[in-house]
Amino acid sequence: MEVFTQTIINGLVLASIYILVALGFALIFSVMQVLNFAHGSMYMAGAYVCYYWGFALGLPPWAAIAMSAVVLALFGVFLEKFCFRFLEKNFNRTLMFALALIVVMQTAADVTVGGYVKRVPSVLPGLTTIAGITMSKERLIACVIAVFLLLAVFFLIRKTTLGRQMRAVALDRDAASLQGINAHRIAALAFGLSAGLAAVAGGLMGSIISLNTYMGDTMLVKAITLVIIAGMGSIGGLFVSGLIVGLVDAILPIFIGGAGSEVVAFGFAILILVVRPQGLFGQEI
Amino acid sequence: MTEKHEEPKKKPIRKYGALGVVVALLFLVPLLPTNNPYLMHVCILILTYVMATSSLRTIYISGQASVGHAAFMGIGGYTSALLSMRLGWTPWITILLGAVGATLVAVVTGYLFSRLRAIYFSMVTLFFGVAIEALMRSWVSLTGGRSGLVGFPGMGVLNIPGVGTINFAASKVPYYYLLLFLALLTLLILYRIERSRTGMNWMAIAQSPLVASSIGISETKFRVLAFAVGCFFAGLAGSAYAHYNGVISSSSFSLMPSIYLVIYMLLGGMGHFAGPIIGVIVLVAIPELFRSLQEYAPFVFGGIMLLVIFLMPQGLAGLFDSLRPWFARVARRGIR
Amino acid sequence: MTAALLEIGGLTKHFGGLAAVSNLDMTVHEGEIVGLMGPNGAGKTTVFNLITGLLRPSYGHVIFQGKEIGGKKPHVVAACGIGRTFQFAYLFPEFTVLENVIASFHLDPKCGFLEGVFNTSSYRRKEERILREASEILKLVGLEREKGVLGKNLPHGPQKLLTMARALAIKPKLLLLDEPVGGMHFDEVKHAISAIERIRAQGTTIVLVEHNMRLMRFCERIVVMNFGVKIAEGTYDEVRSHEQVMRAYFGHERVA
Repeated sequence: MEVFTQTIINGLVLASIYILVALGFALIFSVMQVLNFAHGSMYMAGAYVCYYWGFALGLPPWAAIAMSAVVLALFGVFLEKFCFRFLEKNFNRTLMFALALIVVMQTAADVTVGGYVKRVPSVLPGLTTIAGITMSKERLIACVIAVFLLLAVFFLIRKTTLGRQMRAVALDRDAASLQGINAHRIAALAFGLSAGLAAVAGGLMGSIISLNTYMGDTMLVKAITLVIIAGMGSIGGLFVSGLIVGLVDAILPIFIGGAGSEVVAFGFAILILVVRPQGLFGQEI
Repeated sequence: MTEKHEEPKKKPIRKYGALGVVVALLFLVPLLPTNNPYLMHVCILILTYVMATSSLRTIYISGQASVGHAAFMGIGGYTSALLSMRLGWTPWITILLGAVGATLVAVVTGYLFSRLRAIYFSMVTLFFGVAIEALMRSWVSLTGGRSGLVGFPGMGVLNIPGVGTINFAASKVPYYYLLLFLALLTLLILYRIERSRTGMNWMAIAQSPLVASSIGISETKFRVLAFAVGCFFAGLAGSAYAHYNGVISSSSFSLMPSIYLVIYMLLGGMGHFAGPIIGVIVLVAIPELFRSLQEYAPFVFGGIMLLVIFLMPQGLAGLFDSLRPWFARVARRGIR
Repeated sequence: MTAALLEIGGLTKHFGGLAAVSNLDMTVHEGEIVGLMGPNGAGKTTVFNLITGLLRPSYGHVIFQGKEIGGKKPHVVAACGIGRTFQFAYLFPEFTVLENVIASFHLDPKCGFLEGVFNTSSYRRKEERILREASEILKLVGLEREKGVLGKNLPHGPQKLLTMARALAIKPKLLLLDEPVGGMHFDEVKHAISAIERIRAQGTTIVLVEHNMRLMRFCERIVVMNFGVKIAEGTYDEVRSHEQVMRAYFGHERVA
């Protein structure tokens, strides 16, 4: 029973982290029509920056995560303003730029902080026992923080003016501009927000597993998986597909091993793309 | 973006002369006094990547932006390694079989994916690539899992009547010539196909599948054809390199290597046949040659890319287009 | 009585609840020029799309030279000998005008893939012949001077002429022209008309969708559609004074 609950919790933690990252990715894609392959690197950078603030500067963990989010968010805005904005018409160049960004960021992380076996200090270290089941506090708190953030973002997009503006730009950029919405500003904000979310995800994950410069790649693939299964343009769908993938990722490896469950996950995504390209919840393409 | 169908009638000597000189020089590289195993290794690496990247460009020409090309190199490599190791067949045959294996997979997946447009095609090829890599990692009994395969034969000893024996195990030089031969063959075949009506049909479906279908060009057939041809040479590159390397593991064929192939191609410029060649040379040779600054190589890499992205949208090969009038003027002056 | 080249029977196409084409019967005989008219939205382009395989019929059949082609893929229909132009001048933007036409010779009795790769002399001779024929076609439609211009740089009128040139390259038995002179100015229209005349003289059967009445005069027969249904058929004069046609265009029977 205990193993079962722990596995479920693991699944929820994974799910919430995946959704945080996927949300940012999907946001950039809907608002800017750009497939930001460098998004995984934002996540990785978030973890590394968080480590830096926490370890090198000795900030308490929650502050380190917050600062990391701020830094990355500003970086995201910078990227949109000075780089992506000029490239958005051209798929090839945007792709190249994103890929160049990945390489540069990975190197920067390697050079400044260094390779393996670094961990972000936990927000709440230690174990706790709830209802007779032992689980690590940091996983719980990671889950809680992630869920809180997700609800906040959901609220932002659904209920606030800014969120409405973002949805307008996502639906029809030109029409939104004609309504007086500064599409570039919205794009910059979307970029910043998504980078910040990825950074938090990185910081949270960094306390659970150790850092390495390639964590971004795997997370990118996960984010794309979620978006494919959910379908472009569906926020609610992301939550559902995040839960599915997170739980599968926690449960399946117990039976068929890590790599095997990856094959299953990818195979499923390919199936969806071939059979139902608009995803489970998306609109018709 | 495409090369013009009619080109000014140049004397064959002029057109092929420069090319012939370059090819001859390539054959003479191992005879250089500065030659050493490391240089040979870098050259072999470049030749392999040239094959892979040029064949990727062939796929891109038909309008399909594949981001999983490295996986097909892996399929070729593993097929060849396994056939030579488990069944004892000679690598000279298994290398071809590796390419064939990659092609078979490509035909099936190419057909499945041929209905998908643009971004969705890219995504599904990305997933296919990582799925194959995960498959390689998980099927331990077949592929050795994460640690890969070791101990499959190299190209062995070749007895050429009248010339002597070539021992591939003795040095890297024979491998260099093997890969040089394969690369030149690849480039020749890809170039001829591209300049033929098939290539034109590929460019047609890339520009407008609708118009193409109205003149009788079947989009599905040509998309699958491009994908199959491209993956054949990727498989060939993967198998040849595997036997040279003696080791093959899944990490060489994951997402990042596929992405690097795309980068090499885009940097060199997709509009020119020679684009991938330039891209590979710039991005593979330079970091290797500046090994001392190893840590910062990716920064240089990233820097070059940023430069090209913002200043040269056509890639490095596009430079030639803008420089050609300049060259022509200089050449004319030189003749006097 | 010349043979029926194209027979359409009971052709119907539904989009959701909307019937874009409803129970259309139409016959085209070899060598004819038949006009297809109707206000915008009448379903004329839909009929073309149904014939050429871009849309599947919901009901009904399309029979070309005795064979059912309804629902076949577009490239198959083209291979049967039906060429078409599009209302919006679709072409290959990155090819030159000449390359656009050369590309259209795809269906010419093919050399195989390998012969192209090895650049055999028969392949080269074939390509030279295609080059000559392509230049002929460009002369026919009056685009010879623009042959080196990239498709995307062509002005609108020549673009439409180019779509005609492309449709001719496949040596069609039946040519479907969808508003071939739409948006052209006076001189360009003259070019187009003489091109159509020469095409006709070569024996190609033509179905013509147009609003420009100067072209409709050429048609031996005109079929008029409105809201997806055929409302009239006859010669130019018959159709012109037909009550329902006038109501469709003008809203009432007589022009006061």
